[in-house]
Amino acid sequence: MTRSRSQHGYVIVDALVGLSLFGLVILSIYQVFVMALVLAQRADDRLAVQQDVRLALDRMARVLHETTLAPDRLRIYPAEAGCTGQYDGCIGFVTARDANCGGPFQLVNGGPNWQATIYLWRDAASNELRSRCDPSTTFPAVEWPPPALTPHTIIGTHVVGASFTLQPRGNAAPSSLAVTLHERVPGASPRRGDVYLQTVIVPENP
Amino acid sequence: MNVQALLTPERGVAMIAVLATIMIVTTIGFALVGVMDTDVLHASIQNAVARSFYLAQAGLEEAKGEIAAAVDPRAYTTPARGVTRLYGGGRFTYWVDAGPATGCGSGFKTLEALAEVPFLKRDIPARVRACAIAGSPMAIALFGVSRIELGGSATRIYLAGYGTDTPGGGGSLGSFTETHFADTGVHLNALSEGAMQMVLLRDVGPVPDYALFGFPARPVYNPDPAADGSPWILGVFGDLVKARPQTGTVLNACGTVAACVSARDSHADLESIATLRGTVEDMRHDAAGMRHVYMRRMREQQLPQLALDRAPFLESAKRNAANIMVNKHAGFPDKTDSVYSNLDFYQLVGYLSTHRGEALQGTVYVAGIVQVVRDLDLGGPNGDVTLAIGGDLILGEDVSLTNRHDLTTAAGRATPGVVVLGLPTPAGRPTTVCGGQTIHGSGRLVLCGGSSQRFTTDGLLYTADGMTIEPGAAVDQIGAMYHNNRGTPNSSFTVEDATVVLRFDPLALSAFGRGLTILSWQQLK
Repeated sequence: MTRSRSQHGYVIVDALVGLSLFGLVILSIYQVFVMALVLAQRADDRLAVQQDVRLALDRMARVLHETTLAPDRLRIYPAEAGCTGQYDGCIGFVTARDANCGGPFQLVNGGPNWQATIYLWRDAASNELRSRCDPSTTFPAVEWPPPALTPHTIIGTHVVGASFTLQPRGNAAPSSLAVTLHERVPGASPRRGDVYLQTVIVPENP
Repeated sequence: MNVQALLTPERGVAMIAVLATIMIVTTIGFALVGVMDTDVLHASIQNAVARSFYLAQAGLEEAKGEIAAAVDPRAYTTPARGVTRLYGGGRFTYWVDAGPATGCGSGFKTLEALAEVPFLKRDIPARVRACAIAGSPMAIALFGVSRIELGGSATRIYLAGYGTDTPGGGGSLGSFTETHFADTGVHLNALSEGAMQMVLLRDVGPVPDYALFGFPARPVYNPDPAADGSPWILGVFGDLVKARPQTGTVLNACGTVAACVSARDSHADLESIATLRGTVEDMRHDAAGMRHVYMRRMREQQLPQLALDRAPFLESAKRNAANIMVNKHAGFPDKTDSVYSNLDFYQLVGYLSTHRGEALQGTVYVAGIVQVVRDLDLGGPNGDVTLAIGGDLILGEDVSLTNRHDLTTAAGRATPGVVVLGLPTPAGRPTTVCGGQTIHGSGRLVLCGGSSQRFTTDGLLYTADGMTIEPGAAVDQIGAMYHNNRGTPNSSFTVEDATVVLRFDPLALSAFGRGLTILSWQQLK
């Protein structure tokens, strides 16, 4: 069978329409791709924040596991105690590690020989979670802020909220410490960019 | 080129478009899956780290269980390679005083556990260590099976730690029935409240009371419980332990399941240190007004009932030939052991009191009720004497008894000091001794008091039927006290207008030879 002359133009139109349709398909796929890229970027940012908050918690976990819930050896500072304004999520507790809180665990007669006080808090201006080792005392200050909060170590960034709560709540003899960290992806809305991490830590020393 | 020939089979064009689309979508899909996979990977690592930590904790628990179940917990060790168990998708290895498990000090058990959780062809580790006292299921400085009675406005009690370096280490006080504060003047750990207070210690002489707890200077705190219900120094002291037995119940005047803490003429159970210290001005109906009492907190604890058996002490004294020369000089030329009747012991005491250079050694068992009427130093400043009394022990008024150990060694610290075991069958009729106290051989220790009476001892002080300290006496002990009651209505520990300085050494409790208590915990990795 042979094509008629009139059929020649139809092939070109057919090809153009096909190319146009293909272009539209590619364009729509590109849109999807761009959206996917944006989503991937957001996921990546969120992931980075999640990693950050996990690392911050890891940095806190050991010292909190190694401390004690004995009264006056661990203090959580509410707003009435001065943890307000530029400060948030303030806590102070003892450590038995010497050498600026990073040395070996010190013992006396098998028990912990407390060496220093560690303060943790969130700086509301920079959204940093900070840690301060004060080897001058083994009793957390009664009021916040303690005499000196510098030098300090930054153990978390983009932290928009931090809280410490003794559990059971209101019990005179608490048995654990609930920690909540709230981080936010830079530039993201609270709905899309907030990451919460909550855990309960049992200080193991008497 | 023949375009017509190319365009003739039109069906292939659509196929190319579809294949291209599928490739692009697949690429995007893989990219998204990659992102999610990284997220899952990080979360999985975090999960493995957490699992590893809890596995290490499980390793410690396993080690604790093995030690506590051992016939002699004090002697239990693992091989140097440790003991490995598969558990929870990983494995843990624990060591007890072997391999890497060192560092808790002589006499203390070092427990170490390493956990490894396999993840992505590598092991994620966690390593924890604990120090423990083996041979005792508790670490309480002063424990009474029955009531503890603290009375007298001149009473000064310090429950400090032994060898305290930085502030802390205070000893706990507990009972199975009741800890009763009879007088608002009782001072318990009241560190130089109004003015500097000194205490006399046998090894260093007079020292400020705050030095007992490791304070380099007098701590500044508000002693008024109405102003500060929880002075910041509370953290250095021990706990008030409301104990209850693991089996059965022990009745008390408060009607509570566990022991209670009560004050003055009431048997109502007080719930917190703040309430115990609180004043009427606090407007709290249950405020007890014990404003000079400083303890860290109150807590309940379930404990086994402990008792010392006379047989090992008797056997040890029978085998103890270290006192042959003293026996010979004291008038017992043929005596090769260290088991005495009370009359023999009086003869021995008479000799020792006139020959200050001589001393006893090892376990000394005295059968019968013993009343010491002249000052006695049993073993010298670095002795190793365990005075086991198969009856009651009464220290006459103004009479001092000293039994010091060599505390530079773990063995010296773990050696019991004075154990008052009572007669195998107590006498039917009681005898009244000083201060209206009655005895009948049930295993009581009575300090008759007097301004020059000093009772200095190291290691464990154990009584089968309680201890009473009359006004004026002073007790200076490094070790621990455990007072039973042998089913009598007697209080396990009573003090009236006396001074007690007890520097708690948990090693002293290992004499019981049962159980295990964790003293500290640390995370190495």
